[in-house]
Amino acid sequence: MEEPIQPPIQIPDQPVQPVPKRPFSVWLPIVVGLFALTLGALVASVQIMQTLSRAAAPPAPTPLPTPTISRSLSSIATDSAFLLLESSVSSLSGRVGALPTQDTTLTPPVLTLPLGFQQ
Amino acid sequence: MRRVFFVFILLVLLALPTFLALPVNASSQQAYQDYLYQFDVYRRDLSDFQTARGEYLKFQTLTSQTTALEKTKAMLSQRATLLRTYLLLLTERLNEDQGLTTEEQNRYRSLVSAEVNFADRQKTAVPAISSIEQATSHSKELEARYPALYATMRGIGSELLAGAVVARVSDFDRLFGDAKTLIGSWQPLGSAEKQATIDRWVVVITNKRGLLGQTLETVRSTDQKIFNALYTDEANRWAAESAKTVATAKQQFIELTANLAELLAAMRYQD
Repeated sequence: MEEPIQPPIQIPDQPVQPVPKRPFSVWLPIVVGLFALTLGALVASVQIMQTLSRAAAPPAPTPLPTPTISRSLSSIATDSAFLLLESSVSSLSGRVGALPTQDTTLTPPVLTLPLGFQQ
Repeated sequence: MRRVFFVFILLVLLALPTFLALPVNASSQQAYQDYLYQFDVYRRDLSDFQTARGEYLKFQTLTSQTTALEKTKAMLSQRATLLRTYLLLLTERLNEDQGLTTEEQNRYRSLVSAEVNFADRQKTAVPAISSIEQATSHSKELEARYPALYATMRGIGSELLAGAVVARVSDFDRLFGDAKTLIGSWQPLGSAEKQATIDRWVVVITNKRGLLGQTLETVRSTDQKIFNALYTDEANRWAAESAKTVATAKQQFIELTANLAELLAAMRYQD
């Protein structure tokens, strides 16, 4: 007996499976990593810029004592009359400062005058 | 013997500076101590008098009357002594003052002398008082005279205060005159700019000295109002006004001497 001719088994075309996309959970670390790298680069560049600008500023000078201004004496400065005058004016300044503006020792006594025998 | 004599002379010479160094105002200080002592005695006698008077007015007995009269006479006598002591203090202060003119000092001494004579008459009359009525009549003499007496005492006190300032102003005038003489003798003292600075100081000081003079004139005119006061309150008011003006004069004077010191500093240096 002959077997019936079987039609050829056609294997139906399997649809072409698209290349499966990588799930988001795989991209996330990549994105985060790229973001972190970018952020880090930005921060680093800012730090470098600041350092460079600080380096460019001159250092604060070390404070020095105020120099005493030397003045030239005039010809009269060593004259004995002038020196005596200076001393006298200094003495007068002290006495003027000590001048009293009131003197309680000069206040007259307060007397009880009417005898008060008349009632 | 000769050696003893020379040793004695030497000791006198060595002790002389000690006596010469005694303060000029020792007399007024002693007078002030005397016044304070007499014031204490017066307060005690016044207290005794007031107690005796109270008892006499309350009981009207012969004993209380006798005691009251005795205490009244003691108080009247001490009151006159106190007044006299204060007037002598004023006299000493007038003698020591260096700011009043001789004419002013003599005028005020004359006023004080008249009041001292009055106080002496008051004290001399007390022993003759034999009744409370006579004591009252005697006291009324001082009561009538007291406003004028008080004005005199207050006015002289105020003048003495001003005199202390005037004395120092005389010193200032002398020193400022010396400074101007030196400026004239040593010209130029530096650059033209320096000389201009010095000249400006002289002008400033001269103007401020004029202002001080006006203030002192105000003090003197206020003091005359004290002398003319009719009541003790009025005299006290004018005296307070005068003291305030003296304080203003002092501030002006302090600034003036500071300016003079600045002038000398400008003269000291070339720049």
